[in-house]
Amino acid sequence: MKSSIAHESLTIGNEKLPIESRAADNTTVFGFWMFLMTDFVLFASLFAVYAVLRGNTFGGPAGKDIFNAPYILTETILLLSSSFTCGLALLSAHKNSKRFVVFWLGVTALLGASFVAMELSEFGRLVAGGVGWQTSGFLSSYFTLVGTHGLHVALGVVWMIVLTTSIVMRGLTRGNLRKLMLMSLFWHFLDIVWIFIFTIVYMMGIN
Amino acid sequence: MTDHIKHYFEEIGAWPRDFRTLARSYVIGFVLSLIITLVAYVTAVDRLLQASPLIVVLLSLAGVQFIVQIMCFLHLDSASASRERLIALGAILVIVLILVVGSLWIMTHLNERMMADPSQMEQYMQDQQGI
Repeated sequence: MKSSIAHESLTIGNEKLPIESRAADNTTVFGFWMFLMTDFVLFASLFAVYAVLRGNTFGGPAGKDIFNAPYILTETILLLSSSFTCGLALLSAHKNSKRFVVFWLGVTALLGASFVAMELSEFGRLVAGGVGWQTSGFLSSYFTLVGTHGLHVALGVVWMIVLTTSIVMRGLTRGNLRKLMLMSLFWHFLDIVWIFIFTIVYMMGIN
Repeated sequence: MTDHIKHYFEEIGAWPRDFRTLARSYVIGFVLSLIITLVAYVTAVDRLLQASPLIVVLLSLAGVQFIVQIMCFLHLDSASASRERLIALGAILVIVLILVVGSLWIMTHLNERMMADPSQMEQYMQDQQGI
């Protein structure tokens, strides 16, 4: 039984791979998943800090004074759509269509970059209006939580650009497929974190 | 060729489904998430509820959307390919719950026992310039 499996191999493009490397890739996905889970704990700590400090406005503005609901909804829809287009990139990989993988990854990166740009301009508007992170405990925790998420999204966009370049140059190789899989996990994970920022920080903040 | 890619992804536990099911799960996930987001938005912005039921409704909607995205986008289900990841997520959720609920529980009790009332504390903090 064992020997018959050992002789199996997998062909992707021109690469022929022994079964051991598939097991290694499975471990890679699980390892990356564990990284995401620890990142989840990081965000949970920041959420806990925010939840504790959200009332400590120190005479400064509260959430309902500074949050702009339609703006936040636009950001949310941008990020949600980018999660969907990231899925479309994976589906294109499933169909082995390099052109569409590159196209949908490009759209995803563009949506992600627009999200980061909107968030930066929001932060810029707040800081320029004298509502910076040093104003109160509430604002320190707000900027830390939302800023950490924004930093993750920005890094995700950079990763996506690097990966797209690699796919354009080398095609849908096994290494690129693995990275595409990991990147999609990362991207969907960030969308999930945003659900809670949207709900706890913004929707609960404006009331 | 396409089959090999599909098998590769099945093997690493990513896509234990065929193309149609996979495409359907992305579309369903996207539409449901969009609807839940808009419902939460309208409920919060138009203040359809009092403060405490509003918080319960918003958090429940976030919980539902969390489950939708975990199933549709991250493809976690009880299938053997994603079982290990599901178990890891479950373990981490317990830690997350202890961390968040525990912090809130301790800090609100601390505030209750240490401070006269929030407005007096706010005044005191401002008089002392936060020191």
